[in-house]
Amino acid sequence: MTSERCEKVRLAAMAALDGETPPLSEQEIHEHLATCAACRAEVEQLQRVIAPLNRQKPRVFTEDVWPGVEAALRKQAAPAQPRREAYVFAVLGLFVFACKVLGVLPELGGNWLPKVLPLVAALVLFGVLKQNPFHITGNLKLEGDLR
Amino acid sequence: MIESAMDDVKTTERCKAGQTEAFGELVRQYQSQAIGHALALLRNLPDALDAVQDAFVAAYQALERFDTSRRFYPWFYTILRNRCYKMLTSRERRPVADIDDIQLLAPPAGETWGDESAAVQRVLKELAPEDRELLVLKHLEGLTYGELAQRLGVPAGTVMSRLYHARRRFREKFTAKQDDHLARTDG
Repeated sequence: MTSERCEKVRLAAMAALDGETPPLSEQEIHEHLATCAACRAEVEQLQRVIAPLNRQKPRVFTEDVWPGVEAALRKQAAPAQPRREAYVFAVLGLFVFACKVLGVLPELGGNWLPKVLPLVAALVLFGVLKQNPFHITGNLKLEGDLR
Repeated sequence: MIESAMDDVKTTERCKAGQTEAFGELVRQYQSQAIGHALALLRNLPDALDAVQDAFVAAYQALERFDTSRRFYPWFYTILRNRCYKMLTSRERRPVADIDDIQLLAPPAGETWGDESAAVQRVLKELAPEDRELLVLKHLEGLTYGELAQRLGVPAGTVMSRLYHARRRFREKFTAKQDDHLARTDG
């Protein structure tokens, strides 16, 4: 069982061994170590473990991740290609629209333009924006813990 | 060090100007270091390579928010570390490689593994990821307490305390390994 003072001195002695400014003065550390055999032994053991760790060098890795990174960046930069289903839905939509217009026109007589115009305007808007203006998407994104 | 910091500034400014090949220079400059750090956390080279690649892609996308007057790698390390911890908690990870297949340390001069380096390497691999990360950054990269605090996002006092306890845990295992080795050579 070590006292709070012992813990502080051990941390300060370790900081001094690492060449950092310790939170206690050199004199305070020495005074405590002179009277506490347990802390003296602890600091000596710490020194013995720091030395072999300091002698190691990091491995140099030859793997190259740039081709993968570059490919991912290119993929993201390329404009998104519309999916095949999008064309199917577009053709189906146009077919339904054409049927509706052809069916409604005879009933409206000469007064069809104000009723059909909003539909045409909406279609043109979709076409010009080349995207869903309401930003409705089937992709659900869950934000997880990014610790 | 100052020269390298200046190079970082020039290169990151070129990246921000849209020169993708400048980002390639940054990737090639730091990838070895990054793979080592990711491997220290993940203990699996394919996962480490995936994490590094994803982190570089994320860094490129976030480059607008990067302050070019600062060093690139400490900023990038935060992204890489988040990615690695996310993978550590993910169920889709590959199994951890056999402990002898993960090399974090450079072979000592003379290309033969001494008892000391081999023991250090084995003990590092057996530690918890947080302890291994701290010891790798302190002893292999030579970071100061202030730099460690910045990298890990904790106060310098916390770094000191964590480092002390990580070294104690390292010492327990290291001493046991050395005792085993002595017993084998004596026997």
